[in-house]
Amino acid sequence: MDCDSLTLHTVVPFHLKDRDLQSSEVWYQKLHFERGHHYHISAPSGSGKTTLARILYGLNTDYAGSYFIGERHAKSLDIGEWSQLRQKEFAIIFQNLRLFNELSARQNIEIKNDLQRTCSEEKIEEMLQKLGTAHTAERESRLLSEGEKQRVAIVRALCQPFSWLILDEPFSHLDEKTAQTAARLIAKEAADRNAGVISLQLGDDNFFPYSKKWKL
Amino acid sequence: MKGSLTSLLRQSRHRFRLFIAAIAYFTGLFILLISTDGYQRFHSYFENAEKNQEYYLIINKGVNAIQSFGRKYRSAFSEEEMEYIKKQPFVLDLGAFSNSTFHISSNLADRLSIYTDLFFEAVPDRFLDTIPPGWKWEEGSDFIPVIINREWLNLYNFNVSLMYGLPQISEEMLSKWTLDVLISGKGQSRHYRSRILAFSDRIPSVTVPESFLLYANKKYGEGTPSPARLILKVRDISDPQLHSFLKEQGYHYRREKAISSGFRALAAALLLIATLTGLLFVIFAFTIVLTTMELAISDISEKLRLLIHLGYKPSGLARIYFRESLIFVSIAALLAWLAFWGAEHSLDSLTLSFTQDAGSLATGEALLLNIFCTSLLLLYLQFKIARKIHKLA
Repeated sequence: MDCDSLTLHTVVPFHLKDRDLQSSEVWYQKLHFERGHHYHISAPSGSGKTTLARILYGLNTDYAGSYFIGERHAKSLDIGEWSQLRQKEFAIIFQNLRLFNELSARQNIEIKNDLQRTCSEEKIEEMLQKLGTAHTAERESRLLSEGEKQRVAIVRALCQPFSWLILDEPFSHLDEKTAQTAARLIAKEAADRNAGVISLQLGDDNFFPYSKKWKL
Repeated sequence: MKGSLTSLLRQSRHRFRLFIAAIAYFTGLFILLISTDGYQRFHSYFENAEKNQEYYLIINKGVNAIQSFGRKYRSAFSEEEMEYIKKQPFVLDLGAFSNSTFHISSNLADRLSIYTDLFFEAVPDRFLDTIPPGWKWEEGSDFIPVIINREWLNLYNFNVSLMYGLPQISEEMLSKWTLDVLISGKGQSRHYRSRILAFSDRIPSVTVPESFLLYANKKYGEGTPSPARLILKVRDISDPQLHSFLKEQGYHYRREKAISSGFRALAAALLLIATLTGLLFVIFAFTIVLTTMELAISDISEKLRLLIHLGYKPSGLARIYFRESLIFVSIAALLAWLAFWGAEHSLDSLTLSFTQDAGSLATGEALLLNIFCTSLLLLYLQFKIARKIHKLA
């Protein structure tokens, strides 16, 4: 399946339809994303950042307008096709992180890595070390701090092949220095895969060399 | 299943429920198999019994007041009447009772000087329910073998002897006594020895070999008269055609004991109840397995949803759950089959004499029933699990 581009055509979530969205550069607009580029979408809380991330990742179909993955209409994909896309083409870092609390940090990463066997144990260890959280790898996720959880979620997202990486406030629990390190790691992994990165943030930032920035 | 996924989905709680369900399924399937087998055994036993059963019916014409004063043998059957009866589709065979037409008196040899008048009757040997050794009479022989009706001895033992304080007599004792029999008529007489060789449940008479009776009737009596009683062999004692025929002709009848239809109905009802109980257990187990899997899925629905969001296929996750219940259900089915197989063999040796010719549920058929139930359960389960997990996506 062709995943080199993503297109949003006058997309608006049903629950935002009643709002005044005239100033939005995303809702009701035509947006085109090209693989290999970095995109920045910023908005204050409650503007629908997570909704947009979920639409792009195929978890939300409650919207008007059209979303195309390559030439395919996203709504025409069945669950089997979405599973394939989530294994090989789309990676995501959820805003609420979504780790399995009863599993250790390493197991949370393995459970994703097991699908495509993308990363070796050494590679996982290396990424954890880069983000300074290798020492918490065997600890149950529920015992981790939010910052540690966020770093585990970042490594998990990178343990798969992908053409697109969707980041929903990926550094919200990290300090500036760690956020920069994480951004470098993400940029490198994305570059290795020639992937597009769509970063949804609260405000403006320069974590990545963005090709385009929009306000939601 | 990969290690991390295993630890995520492992839940002792639903395994315990599955274990209970497996026990219920084992119990239900075992009861179902054994009761179906029992039903089959009883059914074919009764069918065989019915197939091989021949009933004997003794018929006579009614005796009325006018006949009582009329000529001898007014209530006898003519040749034509016998031919007509024999032609009836429900009659397999017909035999005539031959009466003695000579005078018979007897006393207990060497014991008491009490004489009593007797009568003899004979039927063709093929109508006797018992043919004792020595049941043969040839001209020149001075020994007359006798069979008497068992009911008469019972009548004496349980009524007469008690009423008059006389000793009770066993069959063995009576069989040992030799009777002195004096046959006389046409100005001739002869002494014979006689002994009771057997007791009959079918023939209500003092029966002697037909050859003797025909000979003695000719030599000492007035020949053998037309029979007053006939014995009929019929296939089905409850045949309505037979009954309406007897009624139409005004014949009275006496029948031999048959298999109690009450017992048969009771056995069938009990087996039916057992089969239904087995079926209920199976349905109960079906329900527990289904509920358990649905609960197990509901319990970790959030985790399953996240797995799907991470890229796991719902069908693959459904397979994990299905495989787990498949193991429990299959083991239960296998054990039920083995238990049934063992029970069937024990039952065979226990009831060999009873159900010798009766067909048991052939093990192949029971295996098919087992496979059918288990496949049905598993197919339905697979469908339900897949649907439930698919809904999470």
